[in-house]
Amino acid sequence: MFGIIKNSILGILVLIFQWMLGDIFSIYGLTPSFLVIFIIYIGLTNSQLHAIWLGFFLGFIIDALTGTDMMGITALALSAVGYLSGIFHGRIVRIPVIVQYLLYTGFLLVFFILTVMISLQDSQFATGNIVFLILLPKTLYTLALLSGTFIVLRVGAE
Amino acid sequence: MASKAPSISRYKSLVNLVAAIALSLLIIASNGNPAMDRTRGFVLEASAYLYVPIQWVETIFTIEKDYRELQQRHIKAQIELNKTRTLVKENQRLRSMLGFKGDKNFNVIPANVLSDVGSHTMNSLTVDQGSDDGVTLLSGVVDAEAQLVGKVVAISPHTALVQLVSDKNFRVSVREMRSRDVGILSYSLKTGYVIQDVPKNAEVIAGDSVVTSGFSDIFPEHIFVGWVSAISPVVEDYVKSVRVDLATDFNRVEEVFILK
Repeated sequence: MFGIIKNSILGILVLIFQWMLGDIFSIYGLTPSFLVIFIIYIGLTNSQLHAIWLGFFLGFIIDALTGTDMMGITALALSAVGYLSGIFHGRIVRIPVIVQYLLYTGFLLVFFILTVMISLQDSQFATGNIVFLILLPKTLYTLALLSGTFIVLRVGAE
Repeated sequence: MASKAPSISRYKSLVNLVAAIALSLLIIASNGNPAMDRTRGFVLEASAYLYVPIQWVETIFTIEKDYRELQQRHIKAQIELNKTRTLVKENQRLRSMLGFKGDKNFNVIPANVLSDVGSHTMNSLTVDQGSDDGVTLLSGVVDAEAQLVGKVVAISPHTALVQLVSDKNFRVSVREMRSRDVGILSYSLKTGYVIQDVPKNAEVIAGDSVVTSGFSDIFPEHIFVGWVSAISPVVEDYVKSVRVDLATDFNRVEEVFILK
């Protein structure tokens, strides 16, 4: 119970940080997602169930705050990432570092494919432009921040 | 039993994932539903309780600078007002001579910006005035220079969500001041701000002013939008596209005025 409360409070703080200060980290309009880094962290270190439902509720709240016309998409994406990262709960330390970071890239790609590609499906952008100008740069930028965070928190280290 | 436990745990996680995905899809399918709008309003209201104290602390450090700036703006506005009063009286006299009906009158509700969110999918900001303060859905929003900002798309008792001009779903009827032609202004990442379907023979040059046309119930006419920056080559027989540089700098917007 204490773990659930602690993770929920941490999640709210990360959400507030993303909502209020996320734009400060924006480069050429590309804003990283701290929420997905948090959900991956919860899935790897705490519990898969925590990650799924925390991802759902935080994703729902951030969609409501941003006023997107596709409310619920971030909830779906974060739940999926929570499930995927939770598969490696307790096992991540036994995986080679390069494979760890390939997994993290995969998780981020799942998140951004769901949130970016579906949201921009009716835009004037060609699919190739969306992938190379938005999807991949956001994934790499968030991966860089995730790497720094996980090195400091020693996630995946024995 | 011990060998069964891991597979039960994996099954439980899968069921939870399916439930979360089903709920997410239900929420996506319910977008536009009044219940979902009410839920969004509730979340905005709750977030304001978190943001208002933080903004209050920020205000303490900026209040004197804001006061000096407001003093200067007030003096300049007074000078312009005096000039305009004479012109308004003359205009009213001429309009009544020609039998025109009176203009609509708009009151404004000042509001502070609580947060702004910019992304490739949605550009919006949250303000600290809501339905209890007289804000209604689809109210127009301008900045301190009476330049176009956006419109209210969601409200709660004490907050409102404003869809910005830079949002991909925002549309507004505008008028180019030289040719007086009317078109629809929209924004996309690829093309920027563009007025579509301007008649091919419209006399438009770079630098011309663009204002709202007054053809909607949301924005009165003559709200300043921006300047023409480029005219696209004719791609169809009868129309052309006109690119616009927006007057409002969303990075500097701290307070807005909601049209009532």
